[in-house]
Amino acid sequence: MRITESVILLCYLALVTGIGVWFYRRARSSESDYFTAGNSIGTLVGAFAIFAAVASSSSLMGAVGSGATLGAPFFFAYAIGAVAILPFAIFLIAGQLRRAGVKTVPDFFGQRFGRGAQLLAAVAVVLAMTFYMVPQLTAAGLIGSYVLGVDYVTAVILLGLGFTLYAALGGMWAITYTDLIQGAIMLLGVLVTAAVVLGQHGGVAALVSDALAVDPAFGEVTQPWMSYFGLFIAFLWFGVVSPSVVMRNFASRDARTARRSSMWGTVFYLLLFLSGFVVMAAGVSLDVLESLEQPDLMFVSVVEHYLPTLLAGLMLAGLLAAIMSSADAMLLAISAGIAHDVYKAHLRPNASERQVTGLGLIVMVVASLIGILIAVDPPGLIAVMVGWVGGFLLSVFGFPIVLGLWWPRATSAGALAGMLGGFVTFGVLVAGQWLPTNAEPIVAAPVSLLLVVAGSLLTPAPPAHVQEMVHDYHRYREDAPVVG
Amino acid sequence: MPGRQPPSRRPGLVLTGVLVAYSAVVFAWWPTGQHVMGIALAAWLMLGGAVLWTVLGVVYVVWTERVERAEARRHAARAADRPGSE
Repeated sequence: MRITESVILLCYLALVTGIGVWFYRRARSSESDYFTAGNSIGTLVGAFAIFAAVASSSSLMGAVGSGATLGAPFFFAYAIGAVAILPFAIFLIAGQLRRAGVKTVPDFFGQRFGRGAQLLAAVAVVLAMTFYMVPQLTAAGLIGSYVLGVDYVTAVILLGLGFTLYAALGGMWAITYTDLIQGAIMLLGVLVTAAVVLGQHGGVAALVSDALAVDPAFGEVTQPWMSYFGLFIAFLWFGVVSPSVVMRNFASRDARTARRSSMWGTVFYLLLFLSGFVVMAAGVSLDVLESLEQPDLMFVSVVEHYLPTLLAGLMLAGLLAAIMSSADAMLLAISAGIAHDVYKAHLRPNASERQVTGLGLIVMVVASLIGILIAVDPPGLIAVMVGWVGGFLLSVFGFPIVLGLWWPRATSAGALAGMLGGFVTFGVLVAGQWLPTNAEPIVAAPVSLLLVVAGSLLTPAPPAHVQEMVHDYHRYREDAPVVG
Repeated sequence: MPGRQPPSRRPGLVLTGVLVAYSAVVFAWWPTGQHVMGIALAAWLMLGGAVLWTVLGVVYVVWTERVERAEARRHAARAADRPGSE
């Protein structure tokens, strides 16, 4: 057990749990407060919150571990896709979804395409977000067992229940404010680590040269082209299709704040990847890959090697912060999917706000337990699991959302066909393993696109008021022309 | 296409076009045989993409806010021109 690091980690856990307890009463006061923090978050807090939600275990541990194993180009495929997440979302859907006035992604499907699409979307959200928690819990277990000296399973359970507690109690309020702290710790930690590494190696060129001396294939493209391209498009679309990111957009005070938060979040994310590259090259230069229990532990290994104990403890808290800040957002998306989009929308429309938020709280605990059970024996590397979730969401939601917002002619039948077709195609491709890892959406997403377009053109156009609603998504104010 | 603005005046569509064009060049060209500092050029182009996306995000915010201010001024002028307004 590493005493200093353990004390820092436990203090950090106590702090975020305290924030959950602090916001409990406020969060339970209404559905809007629980799921979207009363639509009142400002630019600075929103920027760190959306950055922390996007930057998960895959951005730090996963990208560094897989880059060290598969070469620097694999790391940069992560970077080109992941840094595009927020810009691509604000270019195409963020403003329009805010104007739609919905609380969740399935809510949008309900408004635009009807109850069937809302129900199918809720099922897909719950499935994807539950599975997406697995790599986060895996990373938490690896760090926890390393620092606390407990076995992996105990660490998964302990840390999994830790973030569930504050997320379930404080809803979006607690999640946003813990994310502010988590985002700041994560960014500062990785910047300090990179600065120390560069100082010791004497600059980027010397560091890369040291890494190449240990592994001459460090700079090579080692995988089929499809793996890089598949990873890129899965991440590119993540901000459009992932409810855990989209819901942050709804929490902002207004559209201008949401845009600016995403812009600053992108700047932070770029800094994270630039620093991550330094950490990855340092890890390769240490020549410890063979001795690691898992390649995903490369980041931890670099932190322990280069930083003094106190700073290493803070950086490990930063890693844990990256994991928790994404996992809590996923829990909220699952909770909203069941409590708001299934229970309130389909089963009990007259349910009180307190009943809905209460059910949301219970759902978070159950989803977390399911995630923990799967994470006890994780089905793959962190990076690969995250790639699967991104690919699945893109295959199911990508084109139905974008065409729903931009094409008045898109019909409910077309959207349902696109969602189901993408769902099934992705599942068949993963099961069959005919394509390189993470390349499934290259086929499944175009299938979904074709089905949305064909299904819409073969069925009668939506009623006039639905088509008018699509035009309204693009008006920045009433009677004004379209922007965005 | 919803709305009355032409696609060339809509920041989101224009910048999506830039993003798609750069990505298409990188993944179509895919220079794995040329190296800079020992790392494949394809990797550096992907890093360049990440920097470009950040710049595009800033451009989008500035551009959209400029369009919104112009629209707000036009809207206010129309309201002032209406009969009965002071």
